Amino acid sequence: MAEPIDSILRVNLNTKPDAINNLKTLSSTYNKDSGNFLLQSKYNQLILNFTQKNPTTKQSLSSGTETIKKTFQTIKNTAGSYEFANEIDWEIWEAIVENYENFVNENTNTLNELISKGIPKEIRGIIWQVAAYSKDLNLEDFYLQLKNETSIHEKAIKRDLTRTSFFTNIDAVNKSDELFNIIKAYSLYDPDVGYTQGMIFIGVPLIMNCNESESFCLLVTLMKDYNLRHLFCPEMQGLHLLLYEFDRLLESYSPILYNHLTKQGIKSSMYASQWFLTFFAYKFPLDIVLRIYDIIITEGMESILKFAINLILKNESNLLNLSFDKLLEFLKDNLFNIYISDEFINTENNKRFSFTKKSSNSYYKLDQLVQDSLDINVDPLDLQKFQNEFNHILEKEEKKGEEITNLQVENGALRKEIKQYEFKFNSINADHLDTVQTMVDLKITLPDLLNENSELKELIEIRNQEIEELEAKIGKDIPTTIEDQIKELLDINAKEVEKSANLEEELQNLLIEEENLKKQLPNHTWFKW
Amino acid sequence: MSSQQQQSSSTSTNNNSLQQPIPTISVKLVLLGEAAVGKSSLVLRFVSNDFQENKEPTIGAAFLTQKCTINNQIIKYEIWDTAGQERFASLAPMYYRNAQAAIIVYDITKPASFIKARHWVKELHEQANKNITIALVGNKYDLVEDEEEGGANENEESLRKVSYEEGLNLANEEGLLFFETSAKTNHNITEVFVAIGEKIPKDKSNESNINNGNEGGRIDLLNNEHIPQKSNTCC
Repeated sequence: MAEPIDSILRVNLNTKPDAINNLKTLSSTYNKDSGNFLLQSKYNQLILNFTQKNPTTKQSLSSGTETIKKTFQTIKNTAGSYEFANEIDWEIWEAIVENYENFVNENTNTLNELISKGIPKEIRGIIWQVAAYSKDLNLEDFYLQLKNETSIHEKAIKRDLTRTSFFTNIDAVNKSDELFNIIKAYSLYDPDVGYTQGMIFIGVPLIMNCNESESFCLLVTLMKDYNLRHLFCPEMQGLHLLLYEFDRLLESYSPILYNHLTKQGIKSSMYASQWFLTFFAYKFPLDIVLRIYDIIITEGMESILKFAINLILKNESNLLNLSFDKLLEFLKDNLFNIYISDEFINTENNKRFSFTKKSSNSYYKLDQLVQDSLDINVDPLDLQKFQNEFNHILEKEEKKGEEITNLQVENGALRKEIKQYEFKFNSINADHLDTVQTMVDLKITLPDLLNENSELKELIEIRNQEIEELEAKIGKDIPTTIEDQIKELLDINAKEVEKSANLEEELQNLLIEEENLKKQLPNHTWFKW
Repeated sequence: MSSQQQQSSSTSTNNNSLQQPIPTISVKLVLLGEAAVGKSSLVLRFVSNDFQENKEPTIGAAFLTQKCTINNQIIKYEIWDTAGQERFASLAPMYYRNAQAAIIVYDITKPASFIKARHWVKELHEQANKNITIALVGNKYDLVEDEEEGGANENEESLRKVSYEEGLNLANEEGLLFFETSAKTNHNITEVFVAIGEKIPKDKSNESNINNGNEGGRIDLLNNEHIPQKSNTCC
């Protein structure tokens, strides 16, 4: 058994630096003249995954395959008797179901041809499960358990179910409970992915072709072994990678168209996100979608790029004449119109669900569409190269993002600093303003004060003069006058004293004289009456 | 056809503009908000005057255009209608990075959608164009219209979970336009786009026109000629 190309695809170059060389060597062991090698590689990859699983799961998967074989027999026996089923080559499909491995490796051309013409709808679900190696009895048991649990995504799933016309417009509408169950169960099974809008679209073709638990197993296989979950996980890196690969492929297939779209400002994520996230089910007719599923399940998820590139190339001449608005509309809604069968081209009524048409021919040239798409060469080697580039860009962007975050943090700190300085500045400024105001006030009052000052000075001058005058007066007049007066008064006093002394002496003399006179007249009686 | 309508509508409001060619301004507008709040329905109402119950979830983003005349000015809205689910947030910056206007939508019956709206306001303030004009829109007014106008049975719990004041407060705090709308009943839808058209900063060359229009034009605008041309102008 050749090593599957996919096992080397999607590896991290940092951990496996020689991956490209390995891939080159490996790639050369496949015959790439046709797309056969992709069938083989996908199968080999699934088998490789299988061998790495634990014995219980292996047992469970093997039993699952046996069950499918039995189911196939039942369908063959019942359907085989109806006329409509006569077109089916039961023998060959039986051989495929019985030994898919053998068929993939020995009759690759036949298998490729059969699948590219579309798997008969009666056994489509069987073939899908055989090719994907998905039916796992243990997982089915687990599903029955999950189905009864509640998921936080229930509301969102229910809400989207009622508004998904791809689902509500088709026969499967009576399977809405089953569809709800498998999407809900998946959200429980893979909580990292949970529920993402778009998953319902992925689930519709499954539930139309398999029973409920089988649909769940197939969904899980697509998610895990086909890498679909990378499209739906929180960062949606799988989607961004597919978009990048698409860009690079388009660039090499039609540089003119690539440049035109770039000049018009159109990025692939604007229109192709919905192609990849729903396997074209968002806007494309169901019978086209089922044919795309046939290829994706047998060749791997990357084959969706073939359809995308083919559709856009086939519409190249139209697209080159359109500008931004019209381009977006056309890319989303009208790409597949180019495959409307000639007989319907003039009927305006391009119904979305052509299989309801009562016509022997399909509304779309489905075989042509699939064949053209398969002719687009998408070499895993190129994809690996693109992925390396993508990782490199991603790394750079991460670094840039980190840098930006760091700068933002720094910026934040600086802004805080600025705020602080601003605050400081403001308070200083306020102080400054106060000071200025005070100064202004002072300046206004200064002349008054100066005036007052000079007036006061003058006043002082006057007072000083007065004092001087007074002092002068005190120094000359007052002291002499008083002394003179005192002298005069003393003189006067002395004279008075002298006068008084003289008068006393005179009085004394008079008294003595009187005494003498009394003595001379002792008996004078004329004084007595 | 549509441009003639616009011509006549503006001439009827301002005779001076007869001689001048009416400048057309392109305004890039992005719709953001939680899943299923009615972003696509809001755009569908504005662009096609139509409403679909259970509109498909938007995967990735949708692009639509609509022209309308506001204050003697033809504004061509180039609208990016984004997917609401959190998962798709990594795709959103591409659409809002160069947008001049944004409408952040929440559902007035879903408190979680209002919290999400707050996050979008924050993200836009941090990441988007500094001059971006943002309108906060509480949609699905039709669900509470009856109970509020008819005086609902008080025993019944109101469907409204985010009050008008809560929305208004957020809008006032963050400097946003604010409306409660119903895409279903066509309540306030045109008003949102007219208010954005009035508020959006224009090029200097047009500024004089706009100022003239603003001074005397407000009444005109509210009375008649502002209704978008429901015609084949969409993409």
